[in-house]
This record gives sequence, C-alpha cells and structure tokens, in this order.
Amino acid sequence: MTHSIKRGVSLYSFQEEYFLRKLTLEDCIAVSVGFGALGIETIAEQMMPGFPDLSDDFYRRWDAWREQYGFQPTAHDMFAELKLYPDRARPTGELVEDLKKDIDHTARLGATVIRILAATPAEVVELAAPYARDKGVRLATEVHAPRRFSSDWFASHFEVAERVGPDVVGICPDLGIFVKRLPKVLWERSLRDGADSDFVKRVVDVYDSGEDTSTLQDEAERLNLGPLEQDIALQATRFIWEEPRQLLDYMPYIHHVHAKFYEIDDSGEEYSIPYQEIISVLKEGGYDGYLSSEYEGNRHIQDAFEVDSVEQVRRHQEMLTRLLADED
Amino acid sequence: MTRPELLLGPDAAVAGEKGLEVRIRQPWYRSLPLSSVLDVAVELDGTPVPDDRIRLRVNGRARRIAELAPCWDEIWFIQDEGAVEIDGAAGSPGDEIAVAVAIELRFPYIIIDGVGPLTRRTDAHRTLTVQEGRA
Repeated sequence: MTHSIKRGVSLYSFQEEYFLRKLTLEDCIAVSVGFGALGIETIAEQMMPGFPDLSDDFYRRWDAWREQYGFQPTAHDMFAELKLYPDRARPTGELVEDLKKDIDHTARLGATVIRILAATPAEVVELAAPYARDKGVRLATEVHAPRRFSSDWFASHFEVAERVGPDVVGICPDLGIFVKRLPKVLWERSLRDGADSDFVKRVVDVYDSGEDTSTLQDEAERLNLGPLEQDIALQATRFIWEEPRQLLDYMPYIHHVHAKFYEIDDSGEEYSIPYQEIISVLKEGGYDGYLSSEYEGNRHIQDAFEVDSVEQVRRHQEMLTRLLADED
Repeated sequence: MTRPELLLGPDAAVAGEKGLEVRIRQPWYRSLPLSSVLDVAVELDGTPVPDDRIRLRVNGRARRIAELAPCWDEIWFIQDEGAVEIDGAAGSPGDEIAVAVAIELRFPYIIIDGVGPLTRRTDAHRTLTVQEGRA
C-alpha cells in the first residue's frame, strides 16, 4: 500500500546520554539524521537551557543546523506546570500564556506541532487555538497510557478538537497505549531487584492475557508480599492495550505519533508493542505525518546495563524502515 | 532517570571556598523549577547533617532548602551541578569521605489522579575522594 508516513526521532530518546553530557543537542540531531530519520522532535526543558527565553543566537544556531543536516523540525513537547505553586492552583490564564510562548517557540523552530501534555485542561487548548492558527502551529493532545479513548478525559479533548477543527487541534497517540505484552525490561528489572518470581509471572500472565490488573495489588497483600511485588503490580496498571483499529476513527485529527518503545531486541522487534499491526492501520487510514521514535527503556535497565539509546534508536529506525516498506 | 549514580557522581566531593561541597545533579530528564526540590538530606561518614547547616547553590546562589519552595520561576538546568554547601565541614583534596545524599523532587506536570503531583525520592551513597575546587 502506498503511503506518506515519515520517520523521525524525539530527542527524549537520548535523555541518558544528554544528561551525562555524552551527547549535545547537535549530536542528537546528527545521530538521528544519520539513521535517515529526518523529523526532529525536541523538548526545550531538556536540551535548550534558558527556555522560554531563548536568545536569537540560539535560534540562529538552530537554523544553521537545519541547513547543515537537512532535517525537518516536527514537534515541540510542552509541559503544563499545573502544580507550580505549592499552595494554590495554577490559573487558566497563566497556562494559556505559557502555551502561547510554546507556540511562538515552535513556530520559530520551524516545527508545526506541539505535543500537548495529556494533563493540560482542554479549556487551555481551546483558548490558545486561535493564536496557534495564526502561527501555523497545530496542538496535538497526547493520548498516553493509562488514559484511554473511551474516557471522559478523551471526550473533553476531542470535543474541543471537533469544535476548533482538525486543522488546528488534534491528537498525538503515544504507541504506549498499544502495549500487548508487559515490557520484558520492566519485569526483568523486578526479578533482578528480587521480587518473588511466581508473583511476577502471575502479573505478566494476567497482563498478557488481557485480564484485569487492578486486583493484583490486593492479591500481593493477601499473599503477604512486600514492596517489590506491590510495585510490579502497580506498574502493570499503568500500561494499557487499546485496539489499534480505533485510530481509524480519528485519522484527520492525528497530527503526530510518538513511536514509543521499550526495547528492540537482537531479533529487531519490539517485544511489547505490535508495530506491524499498528503501522498497517496507520497506512490504511492514510496517516501522512511522522512516526517519532521515543525510547523509554533506559529507566528499566540502567541498574544493570550500560544504556545505549543510540543503538536502540538505530534498531527502532531500522524496524520502522522495514515495516513502512512492507506491501501489506 | 532517577538512578543514584545520576544524583551523585564519582567526583561529587569538592573542596570549595568555604569548605566541603557535595555536587549533585537533578536526576530527571527535563529541567524543573527550583521549587520542585522538596528536600535534600546529607550524611557525612554516617552522620546526618542538620538541615540548618545545608545550603544548595544553583545558578550561583546558595539557599537553605526551606527557601526553595517559592522559587518557581527559576530553573535548575539538568546538565548543571548543584553544590550542597555544608557549614563547618572541612575537606581537603585527596581526603576520603563517605557521602550519602537523598533528594526529593516534585513533578509539577505529572498529576496522579486522586493523589496530586508525583513526588520521587532518590538516595545515593558513595565513598568519595575530595577533588580540587572547580566552578
């Protein structure tokens, strides 16, 4: 099937190397482009010190990198600091003003999408939408586990998207909503930490067979198990499996996709997320935006292994290339 | 991103101008406002240091931990070290010292339904050799 889906990388993927000062922002861009991933998604609070008051010098450097590496800025990931003040809620007006700064930044980068953090009130998105329209920026609320399409939360955001129009407001599905099998890196870590292996197996079985995970914590308590078992039981409730074909109901609204992954193993596959199935649905629906690699396995392996986000992203891009080329 | 080694690196003990400093990092993937630092606790050679002897220096300014709460408009960049200044603690380059640090962070953008903003405590301990002073 012909399609126009493009490959990109969210620089979130390189958080470990960036933190350890092994990679600079420019290095992260160069590495991604080297894998043929020409769409670059950025997190200003991660790699752009001084945000939201970045200097003209910074933006000139950014423009020069665009020229040099030939990438397309895709999305800027915003954060709504909802609980900024210890003693009071954040007024809506302040959140809207913050979002306008995100819109200005996104437009100046040359990107066209803002990943709206799921917890952002829908009202804030609606109030900032006219400003986004003027600047040619689309606001895409991230659909992120454990939130589901069938929820009041989604209904309130989708209502705004319908009212404003998909040319400005839409969604950014995070493929972490399609976790069919509990990530191996997650439960292997639990075993390394010393959790009871029978109970870990029980958690994995319950999750992977699609049964209700919400009773696992009570089960751990009944079995007199400790905090490690409670933790894996709790974590299992934070992952979800949605039916990928649900994406077809929202195609005009999908402006960006976070291609979340936890581990690409030596076979070149993502253990927990059925990418082939999902990409096939996106092709069928005519998605023409970016699949932005978002590696999130580091936190589960860093206790025992050297994190190599670059290699993980390389493998992920290789897998995407293969699946995008498939005739299905 | 909350593994202890990210909080307390192998060169974290430094002979500062006023005495021993413990250099720490904010162990998270994105920068947070200083108000997100709920607590920093330090033990030297197994002895807890009282709060009133600790200051955290970030962006060139040292503050008591209790003074951080209103600093919601100042960012601690993730690649920058914070220096924990400890009143009355001596340290010369080459000295060995056992250091334990705990930091509690509050993430103002991660809201757990029915609970509120997510908080996370990271504990790290290492035996460190005191380094020459550095910026």
